[in-house]
Amino acid sequence: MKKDKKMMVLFLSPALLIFAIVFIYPVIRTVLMSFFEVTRPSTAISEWVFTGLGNYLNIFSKNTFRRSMSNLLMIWFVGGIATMILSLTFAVILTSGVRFKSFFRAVIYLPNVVSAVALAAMWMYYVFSERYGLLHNIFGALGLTSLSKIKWLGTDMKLWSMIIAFVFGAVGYYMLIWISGIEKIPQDLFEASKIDGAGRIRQFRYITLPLLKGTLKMNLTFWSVNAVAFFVWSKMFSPVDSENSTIVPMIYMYELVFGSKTVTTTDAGAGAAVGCVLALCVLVIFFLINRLLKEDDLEF
Amino acid sequence: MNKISRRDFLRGSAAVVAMGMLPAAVQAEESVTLTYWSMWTESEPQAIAIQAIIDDYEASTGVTVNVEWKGRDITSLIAASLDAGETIDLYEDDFQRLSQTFGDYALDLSEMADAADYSSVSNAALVDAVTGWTGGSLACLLYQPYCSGIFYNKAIFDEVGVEEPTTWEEFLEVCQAIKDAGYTPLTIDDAYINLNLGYHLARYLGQDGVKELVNNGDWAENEAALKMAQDMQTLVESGYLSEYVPCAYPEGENEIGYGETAMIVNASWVPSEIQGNTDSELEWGMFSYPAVDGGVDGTEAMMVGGQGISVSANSANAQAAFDLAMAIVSGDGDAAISEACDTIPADPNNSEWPALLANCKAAFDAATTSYEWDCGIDDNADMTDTIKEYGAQLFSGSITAEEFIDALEAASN
Repeated sequence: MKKDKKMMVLFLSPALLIFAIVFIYPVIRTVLMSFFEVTRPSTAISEWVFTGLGNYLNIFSKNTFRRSMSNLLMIWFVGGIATMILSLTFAVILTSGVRFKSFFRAVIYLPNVVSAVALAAMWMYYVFSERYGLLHNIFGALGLTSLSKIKWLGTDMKLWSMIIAFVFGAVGYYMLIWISGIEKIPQDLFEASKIDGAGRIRQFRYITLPLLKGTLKMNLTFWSVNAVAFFVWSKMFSPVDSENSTIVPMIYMYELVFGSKTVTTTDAGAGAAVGCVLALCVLVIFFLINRLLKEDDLEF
Repeated sequence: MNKISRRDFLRGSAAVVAMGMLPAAVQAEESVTLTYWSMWTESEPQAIAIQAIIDDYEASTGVTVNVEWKGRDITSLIAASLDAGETIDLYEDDFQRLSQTFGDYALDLSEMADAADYSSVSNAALVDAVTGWTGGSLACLLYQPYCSGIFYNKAIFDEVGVEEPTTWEEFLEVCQAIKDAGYTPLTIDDAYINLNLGYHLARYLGQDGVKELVNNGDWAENEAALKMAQDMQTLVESGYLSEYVPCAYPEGENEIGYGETAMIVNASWVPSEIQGNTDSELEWGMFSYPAVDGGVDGTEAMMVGGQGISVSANSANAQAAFDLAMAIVSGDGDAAISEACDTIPADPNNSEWPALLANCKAAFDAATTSYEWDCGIDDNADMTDTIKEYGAQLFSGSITAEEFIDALEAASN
């Protein structure tokens, strides 16, 4: 069929134009803004004052920003390991011929259908509550008094409690991606290995895992993007004001840009710098993932 | 089907546009339309009460008011929308944010307020706070004010036979008597740790002294800071605090509703919140935060605040917008909001307070000095969360007063 270049341009240009306006322009403006003293995101460019790397030096000198970055690192690393291991385990079990596969898959995915706000409220008030929570009651019933008195929502434990709740909500999503990766692996590879005497564990170690490299890359990329955008869970676990134990860069950025009960002077330039640092983190993670996990040599 | 020629299409379109514009042009001659952005959502009692006031205002003036119930997200919308040239005549938010964060978008209402004798229908301390933040201009009119202090279950006080304390020593005696009677004297939610610390520190140093301390970071050199921490440690060691402190908000305040705990440092929204959370029907008492020995401020100083309504600086109908705002913040409108929402009336002439808050009136009326949110302890935004973190550890008994001070000194430097 003959390609009509005019028609291609005609059909593509509205989409490209909208993409440029709603995506490329804000990105460029945000990057530029991070090098200027700007009170609000909507402040006219003529009022911006150039500060060079001032905003970056400013945010890195702040305790709160450094704490938010260390919290994010814990969420990404610890939460990431837990989510990947749990989701892969469920995926392997559900693709191993277990009965009621569809039912279990739906149950594990269910938390993704529920709003994060409702999930967080459930964890805080029905699971972690020091007085009435599920954990308090279970440990109490087992006679484990000291465990039943753990302050799951205290300063020391709140980050871990939040990570546990977040992982619970995330596992189903990554499990589905693992399942799609596992189901693409030809069954004859497993059958051949079975004839050669390989058990389930050896099959997993030598067939499933190596052939899931591409899926792992995808899952790690999605996880990184979701972790960097961490916001709602932090808001829910610290419902009135931000707290050191739960603050993440997105919350810090939001308070800088829009203010809060305790932040009455907004600083969109510093907020833009936080956004750029986060974007840079994601790019570094992409680079590392692509360097460490080479494309599959195997074709199947 | 007959084809429509390009010329006919353009003629038809022009006619449709002209027909649409004509009534608007005619209307502009005849009536005023106001756009009002509210911080409430449509189903909230405040929104219902304000809508009723607006309906009356429309009926009596012929002005049309288009209300947009933005909810709390108004904080992130208002500046960008006004910068983008959106027509907004009135908008609401916390009165401090309206004065400081969004102060440059607001019309100075001083002249109109003088003409309408606003000073006779408003709380002088709150108005002074606004003009203090803005350097003299009246950036907003105030409504639904709150007061703060120590709120208590009156039945427990009556049963134990104690009076409202005015000094820290008396407060400790009250705590002991309540404890002896089998109740928990005091509870603290994690969200209000800085309010407890800020109030006590402000009693020693005054609000300006607190601000200076958190900004300079001289915690170790400041004797009052250590005294404050030691007083808090006394509460912990004497067993005056709930065993769950710092409680995960709102579990602490709910302890009062369950009749387990007698007191909480909070603000005038807390009785309503606790009633909603626990279905309790308590008789509430409230007294100003006690004075400390040798402190700068006494019980006359109180953290107060409220919501405000600003008129946009570029409003084409500023006088009409001001009149509507006045209808909301004073007189019958203000009384209706107070009654519907169990909040303090903004207009001092509305002397009838909701039953839930009736016992707060004496302390509120006696307050002559106003504190900002958390009494100035949040003035250094970079230290706010750190103070809260170590405060939580102090209240849970995991660190001593000295360790609290050392930790804040280290974090400040």
